[in-house]
Amino acid sequence: MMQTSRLFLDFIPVIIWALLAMALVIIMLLASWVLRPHVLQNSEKTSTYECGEEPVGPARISYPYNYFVYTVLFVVIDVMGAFLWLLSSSTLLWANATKYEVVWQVVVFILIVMGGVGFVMKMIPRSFLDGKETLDVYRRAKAEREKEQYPTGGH
Amino acid sequence: MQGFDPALFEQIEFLLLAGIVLVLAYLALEHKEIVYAAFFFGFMASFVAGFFLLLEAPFIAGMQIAVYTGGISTLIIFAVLLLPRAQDSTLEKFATPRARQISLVIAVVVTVMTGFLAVLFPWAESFNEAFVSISQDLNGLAQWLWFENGIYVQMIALIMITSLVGAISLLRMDKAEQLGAITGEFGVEAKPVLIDDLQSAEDGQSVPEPKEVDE
Repeated sequence: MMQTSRLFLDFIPVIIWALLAMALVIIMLLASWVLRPHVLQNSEKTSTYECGEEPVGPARISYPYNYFVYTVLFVVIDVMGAFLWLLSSSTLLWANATKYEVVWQVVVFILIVMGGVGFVMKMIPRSFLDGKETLDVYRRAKAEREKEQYPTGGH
Repeated sequence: MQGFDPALFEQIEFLLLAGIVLVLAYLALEHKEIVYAAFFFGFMASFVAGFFLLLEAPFIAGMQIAVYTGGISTLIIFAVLLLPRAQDSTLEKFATPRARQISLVIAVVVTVMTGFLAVLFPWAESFNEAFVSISQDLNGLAQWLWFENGIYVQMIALIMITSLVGAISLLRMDKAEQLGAITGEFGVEAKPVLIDDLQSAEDGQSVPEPKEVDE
């Protein structure tokens, strides 16, 4: 029978595991709901816990955008990994008919992607707001301001 | 499965998957908590992988889970966490009831046209038998992708580094903006003597440039 050996049916164990995982989460949540003491909620209990300190401001603050680049890097490496995995699971790189052509493509592909990754790793530290740089800009602005105030050379 | 039509079984699988994907996509769009919406997007992406398994394409299914469930939903969750502005998005609020009606009409027209296209499109004639054999055969798929269509792989690499360079240039612009605020009124109008030199300034001595911060 051609139909019974369908690929989708091979993944039924995955579905069973997914259902078991969901059941585990639901059981654990229910169990903790049953077991925990149900005390009265008040503003002290529901406030953000900050190691015994009084919470200051909202919990959702803006992190520097620079961390976002790391996820872009992750996606790029992810896609590169998928392509290279496909290559590694084939015989392209040692079959005589294809290996001389494909190896150059692989080299160019890896060089392009790793060049981009290297560029980002080089530029990320420069894209952060550096204290030294900030101080530098501040001093230059201050000096300019002073020159404006005392155009004759000061006192 | 005695007495059970396998073709019917496949239909049921497809309808089940389609229903789950539709529900998850609706939740990803409409959930109030944007972090939950991002998670629903990830679940939806992994159920879409089920379609590819139904189409007997294991590599695309794996790529869907690796790139969409793994990569893109991480990207969205990071974007939400880094930009609190995104958490109270006003994208779904219409300026006037009229704008809402117009957009509803456009949405209905697009849906109907897409439905017509899906019904009228000659799916059976456009089906390429040659791809059936390579979809399950990783060696054939690798040959098709790397050997016969290698230029597209390089194009994908170029598109990916474009995204990296774009992200970096956005950060540089953001930094220039932040540094610009220092040279504005606030920075220049600040106290002309640095705080740690206050004592010597009050004593009337000349103020040396602080050296310790330069290192």
